[in-house]
Amino acid sequence: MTVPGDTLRALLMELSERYRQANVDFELINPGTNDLDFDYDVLVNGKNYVALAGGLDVKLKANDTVKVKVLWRWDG
Amino acid sequence: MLDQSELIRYNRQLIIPDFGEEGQGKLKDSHAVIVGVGGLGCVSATYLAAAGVGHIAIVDFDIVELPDLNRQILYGEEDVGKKKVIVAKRKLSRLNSKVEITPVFAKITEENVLSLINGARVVVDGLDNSAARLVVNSACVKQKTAYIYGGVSRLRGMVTTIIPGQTPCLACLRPEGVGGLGVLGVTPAIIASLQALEAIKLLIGQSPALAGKLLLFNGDDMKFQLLEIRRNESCPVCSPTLP
Repeated sequence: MTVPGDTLRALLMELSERYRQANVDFELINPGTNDLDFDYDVLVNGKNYVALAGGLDVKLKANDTVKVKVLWRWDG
Repeated sequence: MLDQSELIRYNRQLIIPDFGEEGQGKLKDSHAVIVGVGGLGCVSATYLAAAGVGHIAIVDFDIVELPDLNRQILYGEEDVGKKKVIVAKRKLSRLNSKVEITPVFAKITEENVLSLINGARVVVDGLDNSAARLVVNSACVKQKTAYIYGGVSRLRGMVTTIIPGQTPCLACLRPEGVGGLGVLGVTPAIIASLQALEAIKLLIGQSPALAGKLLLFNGDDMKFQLLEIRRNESCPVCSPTLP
């Protein structure tokens, strides 16, 4: 897919927007914190985004692989 | 058959279409196991007992502590230091003396889990860690017993109903996440209420709505989201190709 911008954040926001247009709630960036929402985790080329310089604002390159994971809840 | 006092007691649910005396009779003859009577288990146990599930086993190895009281609604200040299952049995029996409550003071392990869930039509999750949940999941798959997963943290929670052989099991989904993030008491109440509803539907022979679906609750924004989940054909626990 083509996204406006070249950062991980831009990709995630575009993904959310496309889901929103399909009436699916998939808000990856929490508008309150402007960070990744607490329900998800994101890996870029197998590395957690928090470990990347720039975090969500890391620039993506061609052939980078981005994986979004839903985090499970374990407390009772 | 229901006696006169039961007809009166359960009147509000007996008049629900597709429930009726037949459904109530099925609940009365049912055996449910609630693993963990913390924030989730206190609520699911309360609603299953109130609904008239005939036999409920509650399993936990903890004692009541003061920080439990923000969410574990079967316990009060006077119960601090006591075994949860014993206090819970007393409170649940007070709510519905016709229901048989079996308290089991035990930590769930791979060695004892099969005997703990033996005979149950449904196992309701009230645990607080992934390891124990995966142990229960495997045992439920092995025994072909329905397992209703529920988990919470902070103001978020999720629920799914696992029907062995039909839906994905917990291991299919390779679940990841961390615990110990804090819990607001209302969150497990919401999630456990949904678990209890799923359990009741299952016990009376209706299709549980969350079989093969993962319901996410977000109390920050008051959103519910329903995700389709699929079986993993190479799941180490429930794959049909396993020997």
